[in-house]
Amino acid sequence: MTFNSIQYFVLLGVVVALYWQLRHRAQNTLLLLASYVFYGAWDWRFLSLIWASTLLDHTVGRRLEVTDGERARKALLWVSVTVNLSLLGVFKYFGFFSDGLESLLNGLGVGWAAPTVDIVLPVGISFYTFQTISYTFDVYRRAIPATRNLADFALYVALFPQLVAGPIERAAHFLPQITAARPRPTREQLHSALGLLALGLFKKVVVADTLAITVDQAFGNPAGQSSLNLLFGVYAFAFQIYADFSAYSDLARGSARLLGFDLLENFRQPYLSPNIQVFWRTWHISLSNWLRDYLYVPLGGNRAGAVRTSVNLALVMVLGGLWHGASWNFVIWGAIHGALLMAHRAFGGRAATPTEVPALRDLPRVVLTFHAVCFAWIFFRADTFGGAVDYLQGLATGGLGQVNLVEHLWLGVAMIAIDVLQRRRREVFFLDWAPHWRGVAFGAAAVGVLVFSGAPAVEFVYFQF
Amino acid sequence: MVAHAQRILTVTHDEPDDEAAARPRRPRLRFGLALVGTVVAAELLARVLGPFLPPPNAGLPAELDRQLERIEARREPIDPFIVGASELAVGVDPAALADGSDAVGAAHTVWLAGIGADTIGALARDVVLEREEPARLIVGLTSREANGADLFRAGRDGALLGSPAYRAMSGELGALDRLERAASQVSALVRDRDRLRRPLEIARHVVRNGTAEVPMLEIDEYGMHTDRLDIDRYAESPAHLEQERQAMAGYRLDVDALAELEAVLAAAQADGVEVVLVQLPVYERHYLALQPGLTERDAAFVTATEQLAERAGIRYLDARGELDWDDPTLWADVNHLNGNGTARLTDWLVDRLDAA
Repeated sequence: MTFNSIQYFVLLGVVVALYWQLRHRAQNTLLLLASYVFYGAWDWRFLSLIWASTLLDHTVGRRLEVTDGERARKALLWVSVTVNLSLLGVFKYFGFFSDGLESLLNGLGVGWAAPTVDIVLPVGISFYTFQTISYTFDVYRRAIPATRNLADFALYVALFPQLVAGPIERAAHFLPQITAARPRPTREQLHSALGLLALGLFKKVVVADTLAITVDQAFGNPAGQSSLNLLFGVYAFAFQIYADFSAYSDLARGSARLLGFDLLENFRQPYLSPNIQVFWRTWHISLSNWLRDYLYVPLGGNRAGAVRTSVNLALVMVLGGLWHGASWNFVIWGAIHGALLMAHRAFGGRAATPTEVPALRDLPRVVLTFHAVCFAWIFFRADTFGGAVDYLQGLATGGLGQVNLVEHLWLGVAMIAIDVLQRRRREVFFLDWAPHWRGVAFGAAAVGVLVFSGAPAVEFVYFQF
Repeated sequence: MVAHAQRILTVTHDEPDDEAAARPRRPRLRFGLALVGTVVAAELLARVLGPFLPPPNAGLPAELDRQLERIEARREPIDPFIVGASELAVGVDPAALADGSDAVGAAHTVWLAGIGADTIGALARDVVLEREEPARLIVGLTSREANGADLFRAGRDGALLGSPAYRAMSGELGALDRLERAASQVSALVRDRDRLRRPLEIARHVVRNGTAEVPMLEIDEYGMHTDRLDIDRYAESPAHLEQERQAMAGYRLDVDALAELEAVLAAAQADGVEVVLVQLPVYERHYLALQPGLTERDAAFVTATEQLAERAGIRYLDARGELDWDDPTLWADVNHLNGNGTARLTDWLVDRLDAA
């Protein structure tokens, strides 16, 4: 049941209609049931993993609150982190590490064959695992109190709009919204929720799924494409993944807003970034912040000299890459970003959180940053390391011959236009417009979704992570 | 004093009026009208653009409808069915086959342009075997139908097999499909959306042609593709050559597609349908030069199809290997026979079928 399916909107409509008839506790119960139905629609067997994770971290949180000894508290924290990461390790990385071990041992002359185990990756496991770990960390640091109510905590882990692909919520931001009664959304909030849903559907159905056709053609057969086609293929992927993932976030936040929740913002026009540091402050913000707070800072962050800072940056980015998937390509993708961030620091680059559209003089830096990000995307999208090398080879030697993958690139321009409008005004920029122009915007989104929704459905890219 | 008081009164009186003036009147009505107006305007634009639209991207469902019409128009029981891609539809004349062969009754060809081996299997299963129940099925292939790297083909095939037209044909039409079919009766936005979602293509088409009157390929009442029959000798067009080059780019034998076809054919054979697999000819001197390294990969395809037939226990006829096709007077282009070539292949097939 994906966010761009009719089934999802039926579920959302039914839940919203019932939800506002109920009192706070009953609302939470309804949401919890709906969330489990939503997740169970993929594979009900994996509900047990969510329940296990929920039960463990709720118990650890309660124990942490009443335990004073530092060693005992640390042990509790490690229990939570180890079990959660073990779940992730088994379901996501077992094949990757066992294959790696097999190669290593065979290289050392020890004959060993990795066991062949067919493990299905549970949808959203990377997201809810990180979310529960952050809760335990925060309780351990005494940044938040442990929640007593198991149902509240279960809802924190499983609320359906953000369950399968984030944003990775933080307990300090999200749990208070669950435990306290939520006021009915104001008209302004309702409008912004509907605006986010329209924007998300437009980005997913019109932009991402259409660009996916170009991307599949370019990355599926780089040997048969000209350099220009392959260049357009990378551009298409850059905008496809941005539109796809930010669409998911928009739909998640719009859905949650209809229920009176405020989810974290996950994207802030990343392709308008004048350098790589700004890019990471505006791309998948909830993951970047998670990695910063629970990995980079505990490693020492930038407090232990330039060399250590660089090492920390590289390590965090490589692990961030590995979070996306069990493949060397994701490791390389993370390493490229780590190297870019290190280079940015080495050259004394600073980054302020952007609030305005880049000026004309910043344009070369924006274009350069975009192309550096595109280079890394090749490793992210290619199926194998060899595939990425083939792609780069094709880019360098494919010639300027046929150019037939340019057709959908206007959608990338549309994404930039949306970004500029958002940067100039606000996220749901068309809410500032006069009512008739707002009507035109909603009408155009409806027409776009109607016309483009006939193509074969494509799953959200980040569901696989 | 009085003037001051008047000024205060004026100001306090004017302020709400200014706010009211700044606020749009009847915002909901204006919003609703604009929303509906935009949708209606788009619908009208789609209707106006209709005659100028390029041929549909997902043209195969329309082709399939046409093939089904032809089958249903044949009154006599059809046997055998001949299934394959365009090389087969051009290369074998069903009427001549039926006239010439004692073993053949009323032959009919079912084909769709440019589809892959797996989709040929799906056509054989869903259009022919389940609907028509013939006693004999003749399937023809070239290596073009098994390039796993041809993603344009994969996209087209996916569009066909995932289309409501295909689901309707195989009796799997869902409630949403019915809704969509009903909507397409009244709305050009739904009906023509495969074409409307390509604005650059529309613009290019309008500028170049001013019309979208691109004729569909000619097929006769027996399902045969007749466009190329009158071409005297090999006359390849640059556009077709580029298309074929693209189709063979990065050639990778699509073993999954062949496995899907094999499963269909083996099941048909097991059900008592006599299946014949024909290795179709190509104009090798040009065909194998479409991409570097194609000779070995094409040979691997031929071997794979021989093995497929052996495993599935079906009859294999090698038209390509048994006859010499290196003659420009037999060809319309790199992989389609002309009228001479079609007569030659059909005669050969008559002999081979009657010899069984």
